[in-house]
Amino acid sequence: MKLPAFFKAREMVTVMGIVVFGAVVGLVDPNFLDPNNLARVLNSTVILALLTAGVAVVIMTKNIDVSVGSTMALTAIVGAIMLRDGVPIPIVVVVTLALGALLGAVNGIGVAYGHVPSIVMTLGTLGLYRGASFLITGGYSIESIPSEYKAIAGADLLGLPVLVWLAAAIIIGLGLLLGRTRRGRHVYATGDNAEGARLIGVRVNGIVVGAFALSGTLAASAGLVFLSQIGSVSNQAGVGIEMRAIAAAVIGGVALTGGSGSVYGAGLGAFFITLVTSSMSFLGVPGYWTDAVIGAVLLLALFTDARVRAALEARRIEARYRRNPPPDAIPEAVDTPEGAAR
Amino acid sequence: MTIQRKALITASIAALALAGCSAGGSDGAEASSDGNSSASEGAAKVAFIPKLTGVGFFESGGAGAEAAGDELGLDVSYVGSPEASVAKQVEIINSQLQQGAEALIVSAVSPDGLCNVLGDAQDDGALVMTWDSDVNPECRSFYISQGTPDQLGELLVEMTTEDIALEDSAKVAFHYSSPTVTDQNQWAEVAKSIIASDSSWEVVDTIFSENQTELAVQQAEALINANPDINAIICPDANALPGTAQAIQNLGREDITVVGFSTPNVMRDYINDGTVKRFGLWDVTKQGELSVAVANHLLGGGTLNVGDTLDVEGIGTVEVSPNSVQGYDYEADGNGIIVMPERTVFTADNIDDFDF
Repeated sequence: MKLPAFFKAREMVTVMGIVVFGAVVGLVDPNFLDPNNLARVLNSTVILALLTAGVAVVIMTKNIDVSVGSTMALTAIVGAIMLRDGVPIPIVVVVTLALGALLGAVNGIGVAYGHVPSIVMTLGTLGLYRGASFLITGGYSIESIPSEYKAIAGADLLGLPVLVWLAAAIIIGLGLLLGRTRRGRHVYATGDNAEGARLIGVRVNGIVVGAFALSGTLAASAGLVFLSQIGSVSNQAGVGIEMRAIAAAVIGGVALTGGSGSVYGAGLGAFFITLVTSSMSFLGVPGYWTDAVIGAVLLLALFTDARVRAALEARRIEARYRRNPPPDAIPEAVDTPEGAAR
Repeated sequence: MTIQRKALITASIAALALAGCSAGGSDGAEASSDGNSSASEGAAKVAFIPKLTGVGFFESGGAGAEAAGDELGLDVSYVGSPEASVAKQVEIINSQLQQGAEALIVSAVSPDGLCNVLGDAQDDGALVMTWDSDVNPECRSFYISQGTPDQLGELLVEMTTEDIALEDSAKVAFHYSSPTVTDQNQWAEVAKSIIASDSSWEVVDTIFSENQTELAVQQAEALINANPDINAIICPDANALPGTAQAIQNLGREDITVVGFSTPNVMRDYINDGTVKRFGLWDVTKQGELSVAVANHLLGGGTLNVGDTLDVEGIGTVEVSPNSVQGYDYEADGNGIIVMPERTVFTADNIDDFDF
């Protein structure tokens, strides 16, 4: 009954969901599985995937960040103004990312040092950053992004847009950072048990501020992608996208209770949501129905996910007991080190 | 403390305004409902309310309304929420009424949702008008329309026929913001019925992108990949049109005809590089001006009934049409629709004459 390790990985459930859903839509309309179409879906995933990765890191610390849509809009607007006014692209990228980090850090400082619950703090900045965008632009959208910047989104590498590769590289790098480094494990420790983490010497406040700053930076990177892919930005950019990002993180296996999940899962969750949204035209779902159908598919995915996970967990425990029959008196003691390592 | 202070400030501003400007036609002013009513004399307050703020289209309408207010001696304020929802509009309308607004000119996010609050406002003596997107006619006096659904629906089809003849067999799709938006729905329905009766075209899909540009691009790409033989996409929404144009560019499918309604500034690049050959709209700044001019006439004691005309500087003579031009059954005195005299089709030849 032993399963290969990679099948046990939580992300596999999301991968299976993607494969099954893709196959179902492919049966209805084979054009859906055309590599060119899948490449476009991946291209459309980039913005959401970057936002979801940031939100996921914050959720891992047992906080939440609902300000990412507003952060993306504000940083994109500042970036767009600089690009429009002829500032060199590398400087724009650096300044925009730094602004994102700053906006995220404001959230983190409020939560860690101001002891404001993260939902309240980020709801506040959701409005604040949106308002700031409005003040900067006076309500007008910003156009005239130089064509050499827009060309970045048009560039392909090995059949996929370079921005897809870039986003994948960012997410894999971040995943390694979280999974393999001491600082990364501290993020999980903070979310799992903040007081315990503090007692073993984790700088919990620093980790929380860092997680929010990272989320802000990733939102700014999503803003930079937005400018390249769309070529203009209005104050309405990213309204409501934070909810899709949170949903994507949960679908990708990032538990809202903190301390678990991965940014790989978050990225896959974002791909799943984008895939579902894009499939509506292929399935011939009438426009009036799309929101309801998308919602139903996501609920079904979460429900199936919970059942599959429970089944896998039961199988894992069963396998462990078979290997290692528990003594009557202290059934769990033997397993504790392994349990903790997982 | 602060309330007294505010009242004092309001009173002194009002006094200054009174001293500064010669009567702005507020003879018929109603006492406003809150305690500071003594301060609400002077130029009549008019609230000009968009569906949502932060969109160039509405900002330009607001700019036109405020400029016309300055011209005519009305205190016009452009106020809205960055979020297009009934709840937000109700909140804004209530707060404007409390601040003594004598006229409301609203672009409604829902035809029914605002009726209660607008009805109460009318009962309290406020002038209630709509612009851009209407409410049910019994809930307002006049609607300042950019064009009847028939005119705009026809315009959508006409723009498409420049590339595709009616008798050709062709596949077309519609792409706009949301199935609940009154005006866009009406235009699309008219266009669809013209297509059904007069053409050999087939409408293959209708997609919605909820005012989000990245969704508009994504949905349009999916639409095109799901229907690779599509010939035209009709986008009567200021956000869906540039999103679709971007999708066309991304997929290299410049063979597809894209038409719709959007603002010249957003579409300039797509027109100049040939992705989109033509799109339509009306001069929204003038729509704002016209709305305020009509409000000024009514606040000044004037009346308007179906068939009456009004001369408006910079716009020309407009006539009050019955509600039936918009497909309503309800008709009453002092109630009707004022249609803007003209609409514009933007092409590479004229787009540089416009800046909004």
